[in-house]
Amino acid sequence: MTADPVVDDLDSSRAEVLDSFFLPQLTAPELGGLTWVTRRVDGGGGAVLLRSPVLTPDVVELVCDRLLAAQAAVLADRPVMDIAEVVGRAVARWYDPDHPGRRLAERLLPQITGYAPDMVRRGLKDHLKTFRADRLLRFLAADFDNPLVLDGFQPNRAGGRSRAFGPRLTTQVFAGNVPGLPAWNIICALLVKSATLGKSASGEPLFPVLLARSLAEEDPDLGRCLAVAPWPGGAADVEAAAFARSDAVTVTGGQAAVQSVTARVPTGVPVIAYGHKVSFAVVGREALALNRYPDTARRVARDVSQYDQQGCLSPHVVFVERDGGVDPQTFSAALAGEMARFEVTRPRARLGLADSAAIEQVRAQYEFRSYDDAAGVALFASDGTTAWTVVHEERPAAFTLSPLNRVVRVHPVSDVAELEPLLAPVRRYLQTAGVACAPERLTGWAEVLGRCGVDRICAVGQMPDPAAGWHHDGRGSLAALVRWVDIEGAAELTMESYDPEWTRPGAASGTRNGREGL
Amino acid sequence: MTADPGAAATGLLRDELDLRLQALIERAPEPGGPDARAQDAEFGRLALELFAFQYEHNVSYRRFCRVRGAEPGRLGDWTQIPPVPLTAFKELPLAVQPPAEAAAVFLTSGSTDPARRGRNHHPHLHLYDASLRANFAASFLPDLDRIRLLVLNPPPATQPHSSIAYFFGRLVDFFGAPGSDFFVDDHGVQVSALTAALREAETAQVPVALLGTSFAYVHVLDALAQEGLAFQLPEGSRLLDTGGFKGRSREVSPEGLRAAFGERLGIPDARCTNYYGMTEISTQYYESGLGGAGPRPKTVPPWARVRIVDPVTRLPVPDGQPGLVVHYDLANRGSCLAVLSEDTGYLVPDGDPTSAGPRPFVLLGRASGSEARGCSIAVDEFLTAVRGAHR
Repeated sequence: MTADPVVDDLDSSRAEVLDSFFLPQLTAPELGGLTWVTRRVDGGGGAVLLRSPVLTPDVVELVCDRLLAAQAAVLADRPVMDIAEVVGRAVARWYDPDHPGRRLAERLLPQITGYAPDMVRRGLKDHLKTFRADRLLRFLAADFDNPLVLDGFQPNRAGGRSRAFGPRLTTQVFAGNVPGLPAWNIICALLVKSATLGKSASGEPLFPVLLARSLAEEDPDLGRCLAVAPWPGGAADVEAAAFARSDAVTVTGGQAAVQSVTARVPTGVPVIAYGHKVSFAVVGREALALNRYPDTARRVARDVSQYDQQGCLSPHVVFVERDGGVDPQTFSAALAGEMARFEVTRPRARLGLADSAAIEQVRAQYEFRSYDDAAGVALFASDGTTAWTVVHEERPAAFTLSPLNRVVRVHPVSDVAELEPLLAPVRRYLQTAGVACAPERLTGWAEVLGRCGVDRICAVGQMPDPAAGWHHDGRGSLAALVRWVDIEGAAELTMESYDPEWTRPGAASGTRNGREGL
Repeated sequence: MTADPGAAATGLLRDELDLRLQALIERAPEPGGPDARAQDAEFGRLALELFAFQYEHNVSYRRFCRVRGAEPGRLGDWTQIPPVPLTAFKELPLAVQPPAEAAAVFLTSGSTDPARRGRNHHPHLHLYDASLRANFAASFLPDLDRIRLLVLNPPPATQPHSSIAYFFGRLVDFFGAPGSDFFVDDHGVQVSALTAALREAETAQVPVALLGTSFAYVHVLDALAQEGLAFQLPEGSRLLDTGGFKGRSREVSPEGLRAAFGERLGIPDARCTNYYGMTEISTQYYESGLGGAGPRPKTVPPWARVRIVDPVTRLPVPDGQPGLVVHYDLANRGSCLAVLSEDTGYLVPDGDPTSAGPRPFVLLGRASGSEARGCSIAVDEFLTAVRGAHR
């Protein structure tokens, strides 16, 4: 994926130029006074020219101030259920195949990212289902016993009352590896009544802008609380201006991005970091029954292939139990067959030199190991291309990461407990475990996997689609953003002693505390 | 390894083919000269003969070739010899003789995975020596027989499995004038000894040649900057460096490094040469000619060829297009003459497509695999993090 910045690109006359920003806070004359850049983005599907203003610290200050003003005026006191309903309606617009934003996304995202059009179409649809009005209630329910704590003080279990205040403004650094991902960040912030200043990713800068536009179309007030624009990653002066005006910062990205942002956010401003994560699948012997294993293989193939394994939800490794209806190597072969089928309808993005070379290196390594029959290694790989690779390896030395782009290792195991030593070195990075096993074993497996560091357990075939309300990377997506204010129970009682009835001249004088006052 | 590993292994594989290979190497390189076409033909003949030998004696390589339908006698020319990926040197015993009989085994530094290091077996080092000797004389020291060599690397005896240490050691043997020495030990660069040697050369007006890895030079330059020292080495002094900064804490551009060489050592840009070598092959490539602006191409000597290929199809890419560097090195007798590197580069476009002889190439860097994107993880970054956690 390349993004070569060009100003006044000569090709502009031939390709359409799209606005890759959403800044309703700025008037047309204000925007007109800024410097503009046109970037050519080409993920291998054809170039798209994206136009955006260059954000300077002054402009960011102005945008932040107006975001804060809008948040105070139209969001801070808006009932949470009202917000959920509006967001739900805006998202529902995208269910219409003719919705202009959706059509634009379906046409341009494959060009920008190189992902297969069918994969983007299906992926976006599945992803946006997560934010249907009814599912938004699950986000709220997952993190709050009583979501009305976002509107006012509500009784708490400690005998007092609590209210959850979201940030007034959250600066959010979006990821670009998987289209649609920023919806999670934008919507979670809105649900806790926070305005968002979003930094779009160079790899996929378009979707958050389109989503913000549909939210604004549904409710212009909400739109005024959103700003999305690109700026160079780590631009210290721009980000300093943004961080100084934010109550919270979220960053989704690699280690370097997370560390860089975390180091520069002022003390006291929480940073919610969604850093590097690794996922895997575990296939139990029940899912290897003769009447089940082809379907299991198809599901795992989808988990591996969706978004070319670029997401943190994508499995790097599949552990397969021995003693099923088919042996693990037969399953590896079946998985390879299903990977090949997926490739036919949703071909993998074209790769650059380095990514292709990385896959070839892994293939060569395992080809050589397979020369030794005792090594227990078999290699299944697409012929003449790097489209997909399945490495069957009986005795892995360690949990080894995939070079991505549809390369997966399969390791046989006799029991899920065998995973513990393999997962121990990577526990800080573990995220999703896709599983397939008999129902009575699910809890036991979840105990083991949870202990190993996993924070999401789902069925194989559903790894790319986390359910609404998932504790993203082990934290509440909303809870991580809010600041609690507690009114202590004893305070409520003590305040009784200041009831004007008792403090009027001539009131009963023996009252020393609220309890007696009652 | 003994003091003279070449001599110690005399007898092993010193057959007629070996002598012809050595003769080709020792013939004075005349790239583009009148006999370039004849040299091309001889290179092709010898390459196919060496391939047949390696196919026969290297069991792992034979299996690799059979999978690809490549057998001696069925190949039309040397470009059809299947290059082995670097990982083969880690995974397989890739030797034409029992590894125990090798005169030298050079190990890769293991910069990406210390657990698995590549091994290149050399039944003898006659061809290795002939290659380094011919190349150094032609590319770095055409004007002198000997020069005082100041080596910023440990002496070879302390690193018997390092091809770089062997290389620098042999250069001292063949080309070192009195006063040549090694300035790195277990404790790092011996800065005070080195500065004394530089001072002496400066005072006595004796030209010197510094040899070392880019990384060692950075250390030295830092130390000199810290001490506020700068030298004006006498006319004819020169400098050879190699390598990049894989996995190191600091990166310096080649231009930045050369500027610093001028500033701290008084060695002009034109006298600073970078070479590219790998443990898995037996030939080095030196930067050609005087550098102008932009990247400096590397020259390929007559006993080697470099092709630039697509990583997937393994077919050559057009001149000027980046691809993976494939080496065909006739000095690499003990393992495989054709090696697919993990480095990227491009062939310098040539106005005349029919011209004969090896073509220069520009080295771009290492194809290090997937970049970190979004919340997914890049392998290298992850390995670094995991290692950090267990340190």
